[in-house]
Amino acid sequence: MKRDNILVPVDFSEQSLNAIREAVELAGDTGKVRLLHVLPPLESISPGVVWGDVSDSTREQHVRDYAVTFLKENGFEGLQFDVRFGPPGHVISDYAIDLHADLIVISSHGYHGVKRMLLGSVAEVVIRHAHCAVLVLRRTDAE
Amino acid sequence: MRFTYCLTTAFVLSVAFPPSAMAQAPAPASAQIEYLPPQPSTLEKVDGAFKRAVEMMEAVLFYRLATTQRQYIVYERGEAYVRDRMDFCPYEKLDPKGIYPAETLDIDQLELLSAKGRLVPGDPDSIGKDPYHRVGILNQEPIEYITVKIPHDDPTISYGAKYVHNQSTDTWRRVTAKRGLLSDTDVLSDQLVTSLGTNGWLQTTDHPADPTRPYVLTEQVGGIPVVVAWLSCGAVFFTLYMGFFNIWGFRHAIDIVRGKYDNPDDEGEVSHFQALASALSATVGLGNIAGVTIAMTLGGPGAFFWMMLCGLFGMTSKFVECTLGQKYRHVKPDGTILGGPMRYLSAGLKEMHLSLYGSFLSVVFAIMCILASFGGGNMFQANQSGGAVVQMLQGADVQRLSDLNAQITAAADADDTALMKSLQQQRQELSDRLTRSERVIKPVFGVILALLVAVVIIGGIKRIGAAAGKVVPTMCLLYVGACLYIICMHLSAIPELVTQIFTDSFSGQAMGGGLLGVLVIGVQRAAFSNEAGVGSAAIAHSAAKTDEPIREGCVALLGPFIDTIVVCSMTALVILITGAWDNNEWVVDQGLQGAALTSKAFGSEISWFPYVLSIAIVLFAYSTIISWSYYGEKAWESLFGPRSTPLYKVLAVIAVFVGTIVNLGSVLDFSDMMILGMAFPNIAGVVLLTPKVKRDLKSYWARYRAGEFKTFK
Repeated sequence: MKRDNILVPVDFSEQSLNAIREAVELAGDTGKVRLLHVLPPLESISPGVVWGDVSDSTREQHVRDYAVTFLKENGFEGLQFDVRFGPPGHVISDYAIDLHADLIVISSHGYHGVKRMLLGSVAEVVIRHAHCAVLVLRRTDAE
Repeated sequence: MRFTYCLTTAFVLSVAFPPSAMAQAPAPASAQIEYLPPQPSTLEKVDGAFKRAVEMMEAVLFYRLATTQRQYIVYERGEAYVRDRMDFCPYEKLDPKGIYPAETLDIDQLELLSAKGRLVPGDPDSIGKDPYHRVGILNQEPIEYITVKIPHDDPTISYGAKYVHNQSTDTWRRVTAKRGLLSDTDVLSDQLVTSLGTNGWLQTTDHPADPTRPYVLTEQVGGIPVVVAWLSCGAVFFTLYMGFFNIWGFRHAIDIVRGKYDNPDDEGEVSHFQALASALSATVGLGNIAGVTIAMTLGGPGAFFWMMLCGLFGMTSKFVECTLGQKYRHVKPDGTILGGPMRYLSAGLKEMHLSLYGSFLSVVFAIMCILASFGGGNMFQANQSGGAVVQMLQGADVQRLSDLNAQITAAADADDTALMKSLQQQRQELSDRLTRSERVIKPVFGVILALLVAVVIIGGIKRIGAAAGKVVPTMCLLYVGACLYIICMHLSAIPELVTQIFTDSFSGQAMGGGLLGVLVIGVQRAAFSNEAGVGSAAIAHSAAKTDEPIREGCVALLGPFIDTIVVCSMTALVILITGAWDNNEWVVDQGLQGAALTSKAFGSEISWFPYVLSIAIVLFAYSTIISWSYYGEKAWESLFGPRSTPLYKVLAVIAVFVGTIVNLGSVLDFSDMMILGMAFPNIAGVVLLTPKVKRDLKSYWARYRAGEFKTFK
């Protein structure tokens, strides 16, 4: 089945590179793939916020700059990239609706134990809330 | 319900003698009574559970190296009066041959005796009977009993007086209330002690070193707690290894903070000055106001010298750890920073092929840091600032209460029962009112403080946090200004004080520990205050904008300088110069210590300053809570990932509220201890990483000398 609008949430890990690769292959065209990075809310008690001038807009700018270099280094130059703030699972699902995405390709970190309990699984939330199909890539060296 | 007391056999403290001792020392009549302490409340049970944890921690962290054993006795001659439990009749004398004349004691006589200070305090009673009795068992019968203190013919030997054995002269010297010093004048001969003991007038133990003399007790004194030795050895090692960089790097550090090398394009969150201010807001606070005063009252002027020395050497510890924090920090894609011991311990030691050891230290550090942030960072600060607020609002009434107490004792001594009773009535009303208002003030303060913390750390209202952070330097200047004013008023006393500081630092006595005692007190309090070697500041300093780790290390070494050598010494000098450390009325009679004593010392010089001080304490506490919450959050993030931090924040806010309302000594002790505990994993890793810092410093200094660094100011 051909996909025209694929959303790939990325956290700049090795696993998210796999997801990008998979998505580009499925779409057959880099123009049909949209990357999304979700940032946690601003740390209002960090020195940068209390004393310096760190804000959500400086963080977004940093991430965008970082993404350009990251994609260039890995041969995915020119992919569309977006940044949102909030709890990742829900933000990704909502973004997919706005985008009218027909597939979400997401990598799973495969956490276990305490980390699993505290972090939960973004992929799990996305599966539960997404309006479209979700392809979860299993991490090869899962914990 | 009252009979549940006798079921709690776990709490029974037997004061029975072993048979061999009985033959030597006839037991006083009261010794046949088995004391049953009241059942602990739920809060006390929680405290008790923590107490065991504290004892275990203490056994490790504060295990004292090189202690000495000394023998002591405690004069405790009492006359017991008993009655059946649940009875309301007067108490009857237990020993018919007893020296106290009254055969029975009714409630009026008890009140008079209590006002004269002649009764051993009873257990708090919930049923509304007299508050003077304790509950016990006599000949398998449940009883209530009163103990009347019997003074010795020699009036200097008072009930509860403690004497320490002097081996060389075979005499016993009185331990004074102030600093536990040994008296030169109150000395008992060994013969007298033996006769006191055989009469059964001394406290005894179940496990005496010498079974023929069960009244000779032993205790361990002096020595250095492991954690203090650990921090001191670390600081001295770093200073020697870096060739006293804390001294020759000082001027360069000032240049950096002034912004000479601030490149706005470097990666990081804040300028050098801002990073220093951020780190200082976590360390400047109660340690500087309350802790230093404790050091002075326990250790005397000699402790001042060791405190300064700890600050001076601590500068290098800070330099090394903050350089490492900067060197191994992780710059996240959004430009924010994750750095500190949990990073450099794992990443730094991994480079040295010690990744297992590094990960272990890093995890231990992070766990301790989280607990320290809940406890020493949040609960302790909230608790102490709540106390300061109560004190500020009740100050006048507390003074009236202490005046009333003095009047009651005077009336009792004059046997004026009518006056005494009316004064007691007044005191009861006043103290009830104080208790009631405290019960309102503390939770209200707790809710307000917790809300103010919550809106910043959970709600993300950045302006309040920023305002609190910026108030700290101003408060600091105001505080130092007031100290300088008081010192200038006593300028003529300075030369004598300086002499005393130097002579006492090497010869002074404190806590019976001599030189070592003074040293330990000074170093411990200074380390509590400046946190050098603990690793906490490295978390804040790693956020600085720079590509030269050494440069941020230089900035960090100013931390202990400002915290200890400037601010702590100001408090210490005020406490010494006003004589507050040696003031009988304040320290012994009123039992003032810590922040309360500091406040009193300032108040005696500048009458309105205690109000400013209370506000300063609250603001310092607030900014410390915010800063330590950040440290705790970063440690949490390194363990559990950034998405789980909301849970940490909720716990931190709860800790603030709980800290203000409960008065659980052990919970606070436990958490406070965690801060010093962080020094173990931190220094254990930093020591191995110092060669890297030294190499970096060499290269940095060569480039600095060659004028290679671009200046921006």
